Amino acid sequence: MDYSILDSKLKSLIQVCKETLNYKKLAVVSFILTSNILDEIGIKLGIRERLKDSNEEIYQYMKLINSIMVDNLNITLFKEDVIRDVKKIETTFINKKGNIPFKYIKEIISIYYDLRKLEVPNLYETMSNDFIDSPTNLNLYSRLFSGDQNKKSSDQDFSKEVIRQSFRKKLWLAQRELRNSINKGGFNKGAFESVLYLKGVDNTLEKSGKEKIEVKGQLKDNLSYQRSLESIYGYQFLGAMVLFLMLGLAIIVETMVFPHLTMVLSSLLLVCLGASALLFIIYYNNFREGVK
Amino acid sequence: MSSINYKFKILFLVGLGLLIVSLFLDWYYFQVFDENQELIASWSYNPFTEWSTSFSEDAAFNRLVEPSNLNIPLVINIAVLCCVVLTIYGLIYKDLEKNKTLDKLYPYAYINFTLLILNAFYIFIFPIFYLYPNRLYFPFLVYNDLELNYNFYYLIGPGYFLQLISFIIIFPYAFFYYQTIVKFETKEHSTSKVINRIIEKAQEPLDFDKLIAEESLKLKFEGFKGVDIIDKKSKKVYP
Repeated sequence: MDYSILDSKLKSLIQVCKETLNYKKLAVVSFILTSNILDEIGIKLGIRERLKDSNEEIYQYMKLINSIMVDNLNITLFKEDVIRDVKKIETTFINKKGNIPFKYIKEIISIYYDLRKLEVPNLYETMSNDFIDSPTNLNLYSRLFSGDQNKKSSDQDFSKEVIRQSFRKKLWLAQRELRNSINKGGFNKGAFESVLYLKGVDNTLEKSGKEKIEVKGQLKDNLSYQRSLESIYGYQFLGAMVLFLMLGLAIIVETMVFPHLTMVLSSLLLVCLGASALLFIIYYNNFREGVK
Repeated sequence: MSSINYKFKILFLVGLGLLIVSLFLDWYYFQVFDENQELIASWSYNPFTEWSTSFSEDAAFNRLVEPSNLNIPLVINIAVLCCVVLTIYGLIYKDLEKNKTLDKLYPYAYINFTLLILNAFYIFIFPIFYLYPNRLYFPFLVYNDLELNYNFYYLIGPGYFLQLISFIIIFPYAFFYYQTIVKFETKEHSTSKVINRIIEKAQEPLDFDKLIAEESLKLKFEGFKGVDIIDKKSKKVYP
């Protein structure tokens, strides 16, 4: 969003309100701006907007965002003293019906500009491809998750857990980086994006194969897709199995139509059904998990 | 494009090519050799042209052993060709990995699957519904008639062989394509637009120009000083 026009208009309004001594209007405007920016932050993070009709106050909404962020990402987005200041100013504002001291107006405008600096990433936007370490790592993950390496399901569970631990470690580091930046009074947008993305990856890995996996952006950049790619080898075996089964069934029907050919066709039938059974066993033992 | 996907995509294209070629080749041969191993009758079957022979009309024995028409519905052959054309179009212009709206690829996934079923139909149904009722044996048989001392050869042709090969080749990618579409779903490309609309709707409108103009008017006409004329829409937040 381009704030330059808004800033220049706000500046003009402040000047003209100072001349007319209409600080109430300025107070209302600054609260509306603060409320709007908080709505934007909340919605971008997947949280509902502030319930204005239910008289939910700004500081309460800030607390709500904080609690959701702590529960989900272990991050405190707004400092306690900021929330305290907002509560103090807001309570005065409501009690005095907008007639608050000018220093409070200055404070709330200052808080508004601090909130604007947060630049919260949009939870719904595509994650930058650069974040995914490298194709090598993705291949490693997909190999670990695919079933073509004669691994039993317990091995796969173990591999999955190892990868999840790796992501959780990254998540923890990103959270720490973000917390540090917030504590220092700044805001690391990149770290925040990382936290949101890693949390999403962790959730995806946790999902069972039966659920639909949501993909942001292109499929080729998605880890779950990369993981499922090797299941295509399994389908190769499955296709061959279906083919031999069809041929076997066709021969069975033939022996029923022409019973005198039973002896002649028996070896061919054995080959077809035997190959089908063998391919099924190979598929079942090696690729069944990969399909998930 | 990932190498696995690329490899199987190329294989899939090869399979589609073989499928088309197979429709124009012979699917079944029926030949008779006499005691001197001389060819005295030969018939070959193609789904478009039905039975054809290399012998002339005068060859009486050849005419005598002519198999009856199999009458495979032409519409199936046309359906296969249509599916192949649509599949190739989907493969080239609707890339699975690069497409951001997977929902739009559903028709192509179903077309791929239909093609696979039609392919399987030829492989499984052709011998059962069309060969056996006409006493034609599958997949190959040499029958020696002791009375005539003739050898009767029954053999599937290259067209049917290509059907078998193309089934093995197209199955993995067609199945994978379908499975991926079913398993994954992309968020709408316009999601960010929708989110921006939601944000806009949630935010209180602020008409700065109007507010500045009101204050300027107050300055000009002292009588208006102190009168609050904030937009009514904003009053629901801060009365």
